[in-house]
Amino acid sequence: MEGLFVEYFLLVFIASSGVLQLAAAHSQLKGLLFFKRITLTYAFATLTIGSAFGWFFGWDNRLQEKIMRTGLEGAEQFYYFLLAAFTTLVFTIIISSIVNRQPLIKAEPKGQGLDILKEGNYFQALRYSFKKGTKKQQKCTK
Amino acid sequence: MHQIAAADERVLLWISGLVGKFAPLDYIMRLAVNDYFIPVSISLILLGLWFWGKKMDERESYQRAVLIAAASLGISDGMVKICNLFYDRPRPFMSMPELLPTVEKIFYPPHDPSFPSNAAAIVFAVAAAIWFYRHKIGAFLCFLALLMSFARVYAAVHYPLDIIGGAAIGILTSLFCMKILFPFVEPLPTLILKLARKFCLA
Repeated sequence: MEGLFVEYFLLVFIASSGVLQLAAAHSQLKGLLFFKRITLTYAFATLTIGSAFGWFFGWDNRLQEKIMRTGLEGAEQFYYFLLAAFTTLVFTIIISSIVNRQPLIKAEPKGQGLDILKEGNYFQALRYSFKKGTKKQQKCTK
Repeated sequence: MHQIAAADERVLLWISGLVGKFAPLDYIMRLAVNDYFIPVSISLILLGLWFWGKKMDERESYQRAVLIAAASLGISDGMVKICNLFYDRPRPFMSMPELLPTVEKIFYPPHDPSFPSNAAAIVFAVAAAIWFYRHKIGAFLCFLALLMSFARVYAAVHYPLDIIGGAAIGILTSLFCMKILFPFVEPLPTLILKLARKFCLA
């Protein structure tokens, strides 16, 4: 069971990193991308999603043997999925912030939330998001 | 009632009778029936949808759909468990032991109650919740839900009526979440989105 947990975690971790890159590329969230070139991002996404599924279901006769006999309970699967997806999100934020470490935000970025990631990496966006909130509060108290 | 049960059994026997006849179909069904392939695919689609959309309005509609899908998933799972407390229909291979080798060719024999199908309830709840907001991606999720449901009958772990019951629970639950529950708790979903937006996650 422990082995299956690790393998399931890896499946979700690898595939969801591809999904996040795909969504970030489509939504033009440059601050979340691992690569500057969009074609490389799409190639990375295809490769990670395809290889994660190919490995999990195709490797070691798993479809005929392992996952036919043993399994994670529905609730367990849900928690492990959340854990793996959260780990992927943290991993994506760290790697993309290193890749896009040059300050992308030149002027005040337009929009809020994920839209700020169109102009800067996650930590720059976070800093801006909270700075903007404090400015608004100060204006209100004045 | 007897006629419905007999028809249910006839359809099951006809569909599960296909096992072992076409190896590629067996392979596809083995992939579709297991506890991982379609559930993980659907969950990954939900994860992607959260970040999908060039404009904030578009993204927000996806994010609301994902929130409704997540709530529907949890509630429909609970509804199935409540149904199981009152009605314990045995799995097809329990009533017809001659079906056990068929099951073992495709899947493992589960021993929880057959009606309603928990898997169908969950996948249809998610598919319906997304379909209400975005028809194209919702239709694709419905296709995955139908594929998984068909595979469950193919593998003889559910009767067709179990699937219909599960799908009805899933669809009605997501309808309930969208039309009644979410408007009722309205400041909450907006607050969740605002908080996530503050942390640049929505």
